[in-house]
Amino acid sequence: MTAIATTTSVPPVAAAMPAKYVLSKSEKRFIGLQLLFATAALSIGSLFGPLQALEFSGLTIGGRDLYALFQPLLASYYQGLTLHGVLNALIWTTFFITGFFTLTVTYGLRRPLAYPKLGWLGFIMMVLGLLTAAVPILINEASVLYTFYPPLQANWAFYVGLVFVVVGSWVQGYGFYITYYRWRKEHPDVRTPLMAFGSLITMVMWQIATLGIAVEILTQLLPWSLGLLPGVDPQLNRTYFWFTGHPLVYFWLLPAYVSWYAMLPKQAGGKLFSDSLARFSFWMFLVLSTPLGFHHQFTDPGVPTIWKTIHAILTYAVAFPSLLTAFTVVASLEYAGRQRGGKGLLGWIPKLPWRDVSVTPQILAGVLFIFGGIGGITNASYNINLVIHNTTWVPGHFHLTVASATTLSFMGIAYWLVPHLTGRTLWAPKLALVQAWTWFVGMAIFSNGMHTLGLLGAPRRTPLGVAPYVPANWEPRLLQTAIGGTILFIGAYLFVTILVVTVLRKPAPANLVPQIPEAESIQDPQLTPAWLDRWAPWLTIAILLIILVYGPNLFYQISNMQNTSPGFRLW
Amino acid sequence: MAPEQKPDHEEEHFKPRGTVLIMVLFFFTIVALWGYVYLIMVSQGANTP
Repeated sequence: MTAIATTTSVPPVAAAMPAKYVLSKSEKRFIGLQLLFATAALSIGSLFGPLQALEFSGLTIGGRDLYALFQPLLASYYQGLTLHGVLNALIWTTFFITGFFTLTVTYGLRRPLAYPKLGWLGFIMMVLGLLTAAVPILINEASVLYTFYPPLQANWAFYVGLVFVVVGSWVQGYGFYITYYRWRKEHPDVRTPLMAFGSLITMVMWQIATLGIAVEILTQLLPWSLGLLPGVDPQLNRTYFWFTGHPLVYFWLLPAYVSWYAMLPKQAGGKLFSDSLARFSFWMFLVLSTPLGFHHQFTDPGVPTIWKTIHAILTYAVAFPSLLTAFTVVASLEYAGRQRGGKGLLGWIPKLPWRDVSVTPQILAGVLFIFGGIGGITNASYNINLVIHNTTWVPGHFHLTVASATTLSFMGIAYWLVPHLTGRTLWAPKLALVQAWTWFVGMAIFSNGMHTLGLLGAPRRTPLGVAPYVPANWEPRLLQTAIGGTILFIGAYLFVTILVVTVLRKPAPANLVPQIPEAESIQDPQLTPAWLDRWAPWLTIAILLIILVYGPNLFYQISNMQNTSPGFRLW
Repeated sequence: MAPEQKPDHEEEHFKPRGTVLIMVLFFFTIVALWGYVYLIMVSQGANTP
């Protein structure tokens, strides 16, 4: 097969793939339900974003800060921050991703899930987990933020709930693998369709990465919260957490990349610039997403400098597939713009379909992500990280990843996906465009404010509105952050409103309902080298690299574990 | 055997010149913004023993 890559002819395909696959009603219902939970989580979690942002501005009503107005429903800034982080960063994303991947795997492989009941089992586990974790958060028994660092101790139900959400997503992943395995047996010589390919790699990466928090919760936090362990080792737990925590970012980002590579070029009126580059990027993310978590622990005294340095270098390395992605996606858009009549070096940009409610959010997400990527390189720099470590720069940064590249892309996807699943047309498409720009502008203002505040030394995870040490030069930026956060709130609720009204509309004629966009590649995917469609070498390298750069220090930390820290409840 | 397919000539030779320009601008933006934080680090006393 390797020789095929060197020729310009297309090899014979073992068994023809159907041109399209029509999702059944039950498949649409299953995907739609997952999107429903995702959107519900976003709508609740987004309630607390502007509260935090406005709190920064020092706004009071009747002499009371905003959180006081919501007592006893909302006890503190930290309960609100926990709800915001868990619902938006963990639940909105995970439910959207498992729903979206159900579509990309089934449509990509042109076949139903091998075991739909396995998918349902995973989904039910996720819902049960969500409800189990929500109860202690809502009654203020788990205000430990979404990183749940010990020695902050939550109610045991919080940890059990998180385990169920993660394991439920694994179970859905198993269904994808079995479906892929069966497809592969029938199509041994066919390149895996890109949208399924990227989704499968993302799910495998997620299952490797989440071993960190699985071990953390099952061996430390859960027995500790149940009183079975007298204490925990906070350093070890931070290491477990960041084994998962950084690849979690790629679990958020890669589904957006699946859309950017495998769908967006078609939506923009062009083709994917390079199937090979796209596949190579996904493999690089599988290899490099996990073995770099120590760059989140540059200030942790229990991790030797050499490991921090190695992880810093690997963090730079993972910027490479991100840059490849930027190049390939922009080149695909350039191709589309030129197909639409664009001339000159940049004349293709205005020719892109900026009035398309799905395309525009995804392009804007990419623009914001440029700055997220730059901030990420700063975070990875060992010395420079000390300037911004634990400052508002960090949430400013990850709002450009999870709340921009990911969330704004998911919004763009939802604008065709929800009409497709429900057989409706999108309500108020012009308003949807306004919504995308609202989010973009709000995030630009908010994130710039947070980054700048961080450079001025403002700490993160802090209700700065009541902090007595706020210097005068922070105040304009605090106000900027409040304005940006308020605009984002408007953007979030415009999005939810558009989807709700869309679902409530009458069914539309089939020809008006958006279809699943699947981009062709300029070069036939069958010409992509076979080694870019082989799992064994990449999976082996990924696991070996994790063992090499995590193994020795993790072994040391586990061998010298000191379960001496009692639980603290500071809220 | 499936018939041999040849990619369209124009597609085969598509050169994303605008993308290259954007990537170059992106590179300089990275350098500028990273350098800005670097200078802040130095100004905050990174040279002080």
